[in-house]
Amino acid sequence: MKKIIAIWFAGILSMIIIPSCTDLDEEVYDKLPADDFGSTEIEVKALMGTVYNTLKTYWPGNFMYLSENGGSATVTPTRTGGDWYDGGQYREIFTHEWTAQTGVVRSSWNAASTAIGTCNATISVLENSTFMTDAQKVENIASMRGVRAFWIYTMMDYWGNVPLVTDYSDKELPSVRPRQEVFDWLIAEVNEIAEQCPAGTQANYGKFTKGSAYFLLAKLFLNAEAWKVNVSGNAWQQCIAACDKVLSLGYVLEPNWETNFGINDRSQEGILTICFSETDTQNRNQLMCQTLHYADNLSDGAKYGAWNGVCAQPDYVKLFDVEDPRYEATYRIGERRNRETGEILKTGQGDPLIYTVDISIIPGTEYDGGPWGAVVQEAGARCQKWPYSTTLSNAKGNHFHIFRLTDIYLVKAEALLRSGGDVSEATRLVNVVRERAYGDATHNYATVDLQKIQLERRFELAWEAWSRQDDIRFGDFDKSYWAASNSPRKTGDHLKLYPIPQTAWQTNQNLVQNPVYPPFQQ
Amino acid sequence: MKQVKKSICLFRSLRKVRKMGILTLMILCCLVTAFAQTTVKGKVLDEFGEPIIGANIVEKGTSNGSITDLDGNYSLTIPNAQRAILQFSYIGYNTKEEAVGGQSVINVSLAPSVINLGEVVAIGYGTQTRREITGSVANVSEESFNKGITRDAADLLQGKVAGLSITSGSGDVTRASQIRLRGTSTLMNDQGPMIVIDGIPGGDMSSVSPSDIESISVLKDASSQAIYGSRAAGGVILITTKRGSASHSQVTYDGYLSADFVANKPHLLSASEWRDVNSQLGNDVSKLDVYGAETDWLGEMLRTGFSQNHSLSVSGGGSKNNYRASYTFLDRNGIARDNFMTRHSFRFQFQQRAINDRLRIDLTGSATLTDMQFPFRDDFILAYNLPPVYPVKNADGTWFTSMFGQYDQGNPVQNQDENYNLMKSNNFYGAGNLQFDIIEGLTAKVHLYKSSINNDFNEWRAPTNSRGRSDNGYARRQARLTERELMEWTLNYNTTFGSKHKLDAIAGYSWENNRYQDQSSIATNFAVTSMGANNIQSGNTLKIGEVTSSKNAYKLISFFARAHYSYDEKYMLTATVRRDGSSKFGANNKWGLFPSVSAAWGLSQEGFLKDINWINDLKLRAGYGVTGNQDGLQPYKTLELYEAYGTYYDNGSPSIAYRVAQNANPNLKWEETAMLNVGVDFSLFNGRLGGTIEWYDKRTTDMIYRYTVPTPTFVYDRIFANVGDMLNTGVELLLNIDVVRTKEFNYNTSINLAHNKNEILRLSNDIYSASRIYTGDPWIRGASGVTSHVIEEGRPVGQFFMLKAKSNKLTADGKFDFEEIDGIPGITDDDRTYVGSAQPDLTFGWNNSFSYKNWDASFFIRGTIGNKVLNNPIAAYGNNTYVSGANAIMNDNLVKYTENSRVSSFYLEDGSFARLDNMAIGYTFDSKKIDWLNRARVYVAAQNLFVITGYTGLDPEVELFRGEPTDNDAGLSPGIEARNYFPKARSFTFGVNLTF
Repeated sequence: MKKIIAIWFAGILSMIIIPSCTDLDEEVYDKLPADDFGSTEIEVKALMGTVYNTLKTYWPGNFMYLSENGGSATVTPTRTGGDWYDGGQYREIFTHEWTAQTGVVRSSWNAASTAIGTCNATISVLENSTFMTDAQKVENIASMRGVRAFWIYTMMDYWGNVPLVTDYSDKELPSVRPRQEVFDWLIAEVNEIAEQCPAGTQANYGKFTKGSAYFLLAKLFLNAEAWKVNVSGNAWQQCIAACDKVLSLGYVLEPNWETNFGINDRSQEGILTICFSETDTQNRNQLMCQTLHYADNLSDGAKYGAWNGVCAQPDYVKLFDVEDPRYEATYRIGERRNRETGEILKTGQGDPLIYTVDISIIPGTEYDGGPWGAVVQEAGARCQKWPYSTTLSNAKGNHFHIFRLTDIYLVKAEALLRSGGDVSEATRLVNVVRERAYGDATHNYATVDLQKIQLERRFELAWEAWSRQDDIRFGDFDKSYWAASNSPRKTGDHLKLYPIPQTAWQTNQNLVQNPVYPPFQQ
Repeated sequence: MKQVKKSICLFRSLRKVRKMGILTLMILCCLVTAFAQTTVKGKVLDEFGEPIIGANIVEKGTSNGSITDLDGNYSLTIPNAQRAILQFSYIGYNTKEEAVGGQSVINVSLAPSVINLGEVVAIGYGTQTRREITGSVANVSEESFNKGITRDAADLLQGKVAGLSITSGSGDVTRASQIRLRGTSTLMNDQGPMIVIDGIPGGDMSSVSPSDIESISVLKDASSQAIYGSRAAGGVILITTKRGSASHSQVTYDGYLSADFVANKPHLLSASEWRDVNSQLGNDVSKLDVYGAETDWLGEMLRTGFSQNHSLSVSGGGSKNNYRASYTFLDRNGIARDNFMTRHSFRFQFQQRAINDRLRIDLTGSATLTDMQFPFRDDFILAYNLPPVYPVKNADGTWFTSMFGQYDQGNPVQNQDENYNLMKSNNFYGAGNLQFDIIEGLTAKVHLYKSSINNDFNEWRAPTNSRGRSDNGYARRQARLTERELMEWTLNYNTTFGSKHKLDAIAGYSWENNRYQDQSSIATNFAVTSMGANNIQSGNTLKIGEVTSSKNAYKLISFFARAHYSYDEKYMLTATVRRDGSSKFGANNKWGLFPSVSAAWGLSQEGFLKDINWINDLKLRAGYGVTGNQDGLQPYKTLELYEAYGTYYDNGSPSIAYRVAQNANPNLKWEETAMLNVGVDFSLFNGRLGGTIEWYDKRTTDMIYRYTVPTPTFVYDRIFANVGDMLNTGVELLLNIDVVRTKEFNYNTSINLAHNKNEILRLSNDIYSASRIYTGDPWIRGASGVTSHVIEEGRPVGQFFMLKAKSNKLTADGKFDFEEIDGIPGITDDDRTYVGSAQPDLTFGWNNSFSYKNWDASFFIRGTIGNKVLNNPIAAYGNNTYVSGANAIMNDNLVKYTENSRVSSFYLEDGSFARLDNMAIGYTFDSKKIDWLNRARVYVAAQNLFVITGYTGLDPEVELFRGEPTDNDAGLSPGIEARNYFPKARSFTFGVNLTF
């Protein structure tokens, strides 16, 4: 008997020692192990593609709301019944009463900080890659560092004091760096990579190029004063120099303004572009859903279902000269008819769908004893700056230029004026923009001042996520452009920085809340 | 680990010898001499001590059997008296099992509903008598199962076992129940208890037809679960299927017909109420009310569902074999017009014995073929949302679609007719089981198993209706294949020495491989729609990212052992140890060790209690053990991987982008759950009062979860890691009382009560911190993204965290009045606070069964006390702010509101309830005079007859989660009655049981 037991145990023992019987290695079938990834050009391009795709989280979602709703361009009003109240987060952005819990602030922080993590991971793969020539490697890494710099600049703009993590292998929980330090780092970083970046050729459309780097430098110097950071040397002169650099790179203003926004158009003034596609299945461009009324797809003959959300702040729309072609091209106003039947479309209450510029609170709908209340479904001018195709279903293919050449004309003009420079050159630059917009010189200015430049920026760049930054720079940040909301904006210098989200602090208690906001606590 | 590696080197040369070794083992085994045979005699009596004539006595698992004579005497020759188990059965009485254990005289008395202490209960890798069990094992056998329409073991068990919560929160017949034992024990996709079918761990409940189930054991404490170490943290449910018996070759037919009625549906405004409410509110609805229609949209979507079930089984055997084969057809039609399930279940089991019955070979085959149609639950949202003055169809018979283009509106009846979401599922498995008695008491066994589950999904949304409109037609085809292979070796030794010492020991090895693969294609924009999803190439648009496939695999390897010692049924001690390896974990953490120990003291066997005759049995038990969990975790989470994701723009054309797949965590390791369990079992007054009282403390440590991490330093904001701790403590009580026990009339009542307290102890460590996680998405129009729950240290899973209403009344001007929490004027997210928990203080089940002559009857009530439920249908549709263009649920506040609903405690209600879940009356015909008929019974049953509750919503028993069990955070925001509520059914069943 003992023998038998012994044999049985020998059997068990033999199984233990047969490697296959204790082998727990994982065989991966549908993903690629990190050790052999990044060793071919295709793989490296595919990886850099993901870095460029992070830009799709910048606009028309997160930062469009933080910039345009927090600035003067747009608002997401609560619609009759309560649509879009959503816990008050859009009201908070408009009235500047945001907190560390406000949804859009949180999702925007997450988008930017996740993008930086993706950039760092990719840069690390590129650095360790062996198959590329040195020149290729330097150029690829520079473009990735460029996208990372854009995101760090974005965080520094919106939150001021932010973590600065630039090494993938660094796993220490970061603390916040003062805005000055982040700014200095950015200036050094962008200067270092600018000439290493790829050239702005047609083949490099959609990439972070030399032009993107100099554009970013121009924005950094332009806003330095408003950000209250010190700059070594004269910020305005360095801003102008960066603009000149961009202007020297061969970009041209599109003869037709609308080419910048059209479907399938590759604008020659695009300097950093988000290349959306109708076939996107992730991070889709759904601006049509965000802004148009539920039924309005029928007026374009298209199939998607929209959500009736964001529209223009009325007093901003009223700044426009109605003869400015950009007015009609930017805003959808007035009655909407079914493209096929010609019948007028209806709201959920059975009223005709006629978009109005004016938006007024329906009496009695106010929340929590305050002035904020609901408005009718059809109130507010909608966005149609990026035209809607008749075949549009659930993703827009219109590209979005985060940086485009027109902006540089206006930046340079502004820097000239602010530095006490050549007013006639500034006037010429602004008039180039106006002449292109109107199609002739009849609306050109004799001379420009800062107010005119601010206005021109509003006409030219509505919905393009510059409103908040521009308003802060022009000292207009406390003023809303929807007086009829009856909701005054909260004021205070500290509001020029958004609060760091509560959830970010929960994962990293080295973060310190921005001034005046309630400090983080358990 | 190091030692194992060393031995690998040492014994590498033995590798070739392995196969030979096993072969030699087999041959040697055959040479051992046969055992001595034993004859067992005895009497079978009824509860009044009168002999039962013609009772069956069978040696379990064999064809060896006998029948009692006119005096109730029997005699049976048994080859292996140590291991044999005798089954005593007689019509109208509970079947009883007795371990022979060397006795030569076994007298039994059969009685209905008396707790039987000699009863043999399935435990992990074996059986034990009730008297000897040291852990916490609840056993439910066929006569106690729930009556009526049952789809699987969960339906049979619901409410029967203290601490086992089985939730069926919807009338959807395709939806599986959600099961938790002793609370939620992990944040990581708690899978509920592991299902073990006839000894095969990790089975699928739906693969066993209820009519094939003989008994179900629930292993409740860690000491009984630990033998299944790797996957037992959520508990273990052992299902034992029926076996053939040589003594009666029989044919059984069980069949029923049933009708499902809508139990409760929301009171949406009728057309006249809608006009009235709108006129009270001053809304001009004349522009919408132009069709002259009065439609009950929800009523249009619902129906009476008829179901039928037919089970046929044949069983029997010869002197060397036995068999059972069964076929069940279930055709279930839900109360929504587009909801059905049909299932064909085949099961075949055959055992052959050889070498003087020392070699037993068992073969089992099972096929479960299911066709089902999932309802589009969001169609219920359309029904809530449509003005009741719209018609279903236009005058010309076409669908009414004028509501298209308005938010959340569409014609739900049209959707039901035109769209479908079908699944065909084929679940096959085969098991082979080879067992050899080497010498007396020593048995070697090998278990081989292979299963394959195919799921084929076929979804179509036509372009003509609201669901397919935005895609101009949408078709999805998806195929999934899940395969599993299992090999298990065990060596079991049991012996009795010095007449009072009993030892039972088992050692084993198990190897398991799981593979999964799927492929899915979605096409949209259909030019020709008549072929639906059957011709996906008719779709004009095929997007990159919507054609996908995936494949993964993981392995589990285990070594385990258990020893059970008992002395004279007075002192019992069980110790188990299991070493488990899972491929899912990091290189240095693949192996985990899961020990347990438990002891029991049979007080009633002690001299000082033996003479107290009102105590039949009294036993104290205590056990402690550790079990592991890795089930909710997907493979490969420890590895740095890259994956294809989306497309990027490459000079004008889209190319596939690659990205880092995840935050890899190479340190990921086993989640461990330690449980201390103390219990008392008692049986008093001649078995008329029996029961169990238990207390447990269950602690999960190194809890796996998707913890939040900062980006950067990480690429993504979530990582799977072992960080948190969770605690469940509870008390359970089971009482079983024979109120009346006479020859003609019997009344038995049994009550089970369970209290469980759940608390998340920790969510942070030095590396990860997530002291509070917001979760729960009830969804109210105008409140998207507003959460309802938190997961937080010091709080239970199911903690509601919302704006707090000062009262359940609106202010005079129709507004909410919320408490100002953060001290800063204005109501923002910072004013949310803790407002209650979805966890009940008490769950209970109360069963009553009666028998009078040939009649039997039972009713069963179950419920919960002290849990909160968020009445989200009222929040989403009980307000008037959309009523002019939509519809609303009638309620007291309807016309008072002047602001839209908010996710808040205003809608939080006490969810305590008691449900008359089950009621049945049966009649058994006197078949003694019909020689070809063994048994004939007819019955009627009703399910979900009524609910007693203060809850004002539809039904306070709500699902733990709405999506799939594998969804992120599934089960972490319980207690929300969903706004796309699928009403429950009230069912009436007529059935027959026939045995020939």
